[in-house]
Amino acid sequence: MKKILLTISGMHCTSCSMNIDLDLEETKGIISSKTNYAKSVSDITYDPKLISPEKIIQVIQNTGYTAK
Amino acid sequence: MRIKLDISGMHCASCALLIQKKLTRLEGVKTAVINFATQTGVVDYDQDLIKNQDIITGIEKLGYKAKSASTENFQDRELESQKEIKHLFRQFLFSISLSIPLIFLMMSTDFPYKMPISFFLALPVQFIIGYGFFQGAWSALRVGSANMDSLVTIGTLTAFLFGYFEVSAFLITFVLLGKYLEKKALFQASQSLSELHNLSPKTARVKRFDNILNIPLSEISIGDIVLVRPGEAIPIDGRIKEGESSVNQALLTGESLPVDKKSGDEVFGGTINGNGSFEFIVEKIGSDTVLSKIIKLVEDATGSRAPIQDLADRISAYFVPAVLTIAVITFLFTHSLFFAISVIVIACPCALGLATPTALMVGIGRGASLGILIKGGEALEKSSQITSVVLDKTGTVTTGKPEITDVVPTSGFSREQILKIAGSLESLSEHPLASAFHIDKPLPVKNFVAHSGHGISGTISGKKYSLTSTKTARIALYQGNTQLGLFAVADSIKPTSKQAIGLLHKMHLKVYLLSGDNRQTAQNIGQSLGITNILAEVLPEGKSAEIKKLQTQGEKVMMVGDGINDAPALAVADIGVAMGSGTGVAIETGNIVLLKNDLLDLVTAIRLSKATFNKIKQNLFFAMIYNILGIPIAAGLFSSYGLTLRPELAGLAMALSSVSVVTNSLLLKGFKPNNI
Repeated sequence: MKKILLTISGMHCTSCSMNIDLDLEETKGIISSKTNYAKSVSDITYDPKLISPEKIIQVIQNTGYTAK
Repeated sequence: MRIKLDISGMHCASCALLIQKKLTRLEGVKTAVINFATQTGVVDYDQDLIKNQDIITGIEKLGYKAKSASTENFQDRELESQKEIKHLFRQFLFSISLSIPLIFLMMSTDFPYKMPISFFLALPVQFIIGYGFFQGAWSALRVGSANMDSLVTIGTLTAFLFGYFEVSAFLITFVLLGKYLEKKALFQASQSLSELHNLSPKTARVKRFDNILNIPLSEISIGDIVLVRPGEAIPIDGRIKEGESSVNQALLTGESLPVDKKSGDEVFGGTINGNGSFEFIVEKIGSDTVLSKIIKLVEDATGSRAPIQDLADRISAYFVPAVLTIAVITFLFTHSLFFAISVIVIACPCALGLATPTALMVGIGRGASLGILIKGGEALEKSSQITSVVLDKTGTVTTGKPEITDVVPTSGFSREQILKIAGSLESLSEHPLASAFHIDKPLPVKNFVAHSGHGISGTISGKKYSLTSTKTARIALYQGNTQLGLFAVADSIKPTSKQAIGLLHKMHLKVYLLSGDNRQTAQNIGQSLGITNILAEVLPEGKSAEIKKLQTQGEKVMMVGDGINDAPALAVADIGVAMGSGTGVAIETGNIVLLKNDLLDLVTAIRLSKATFNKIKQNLFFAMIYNILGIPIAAGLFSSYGLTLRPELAGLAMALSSVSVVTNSLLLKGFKPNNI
């Protein structure tokens, strides 16, 4: 289990952060995701055997935001 | 089962998306579509698994308000919002009639039972009228955020609990006044959309089992036969079965001259029939009609976001907590509850939140009424920042319909004779240039052969003729091996192209002409238009590479084309503009669609984008400067100079700031296009 902190850009309000969390939590290998709109960061706990940070960024991009 | 919902409390398109996602996760919900612009949703569900009340509760859990839509059509929704405006106005009258006596009570020093009377006058204002604010604050709190309602609730409750009854009552009164004015202005802003809606009739006369029935559009199905009388608006899309007429399609194509229609031709909902009458077979219904697609596009666009809004939203997110902190500090330092409440009230970021969406709504709506479809805030923001415009030649600056520009007989035949022979041969050809040779009564042609890439040949009155193109881009007519004449064929330039290009230059934009023609031809056309930057001999698949090349030079490129052959180039460009050509316009391609086939509209589109974007910047500036100046005054920083702000006046000022932002946006309605 690993933790990663990503900076997200493109969020407009708290709904965006909830959208990101909803999509991430549906992704295999992600244990938890907490996105903070005001701070523009996502705090993600994941299983490195199942998913890579690149893949996580991809998921966020598919939701419509940029992460790094 | 299907339920239609009215949803309130959404701030942006992500809220709509969030609701959509949450709902589709509920067991029994098949599909959910939530539209931010219209504040509505449509949910399909299985009534054995879920009740519609559960769906509404699901939305409310997220912090939004939802109710089953009492009406589904646009006109009724308009009535609904008018009702809401009236309701707000009545609330305002009610609360001001209780607030005014409060002021006199407070000013008098010896009125008997002053405090109890004040309490009972303020009570209904605070808790009946103010209930709406509590609700809003509560739903914001549940999703862990704060909004304008939160600030109003905190401010008024504090005042009320500490016995400043007139402050609480007047504050609510003024905030209501602001809300009322804001809703009224927003309603006006949304009017351009309703104009589109009002253009198509609500019922159609349909032939069923030899009866002619007047039935609502929603009950029409594909294959129905609809009757149209002279002067009527055509209700829906279809193909003429019997009869003929001329139809004014200005709504969809911008072309004000009527188009002749006969059996087999397509007709479109929202267009106006001329003097004939006809029957047509319905081919497209509901959301598939051209008019519905346009309306949908405009609705989506007006509800979309512009990147510049991120800044405003980010500020708003920090704003409320920051303001509450300032209010507490103010109280600690000045021991004045008045100052603290004033700070809370004046700092409402609502003007900031309205700055972008209202300008977008009016700007994009104004565009739609001019036949310019701007697909959202991002497209608008980018169009206002472009540096180069690349114009595709065929169909964009030219008509796309070739014409004969010169005829040279070479073997004693007359011009008329060779035109007749060539026209007869071309009457059987499907080559794009053939239409240039069109004649009314072609001679009969035998043994017609189209030699792919090498011209055409055929026999007329026993003699063999052929037409081939020459190396100098002319077309030669032969009888056997004898050349009879030469034709020059050109795609003529649209009448307004030159003027439009002149205007683009005046806006300090670099204009490029993109063409598949050889350099000489392209340069000649460029010269007659005043364009010096020529990108010639570009194959269709090479168009996007040319755009990319300009982008690497640091240009922000707008590409203008017909949207059919150049879709990839439109996609690569920073902004792709698709020019309409009749109703077959590819409204799916491009970031901007010009319904009229007129380059002047491109100039209008860029100007409108710039005007709207400027409006957004003005609004953001007003909203910010207002808070920056207002907070220190409200906090009592200048009280030693006698400059203070009572909480209720702070409330009025806050309300007026929102109103001024919306009113400023509404000014865009008066935007004038170029070609009038």
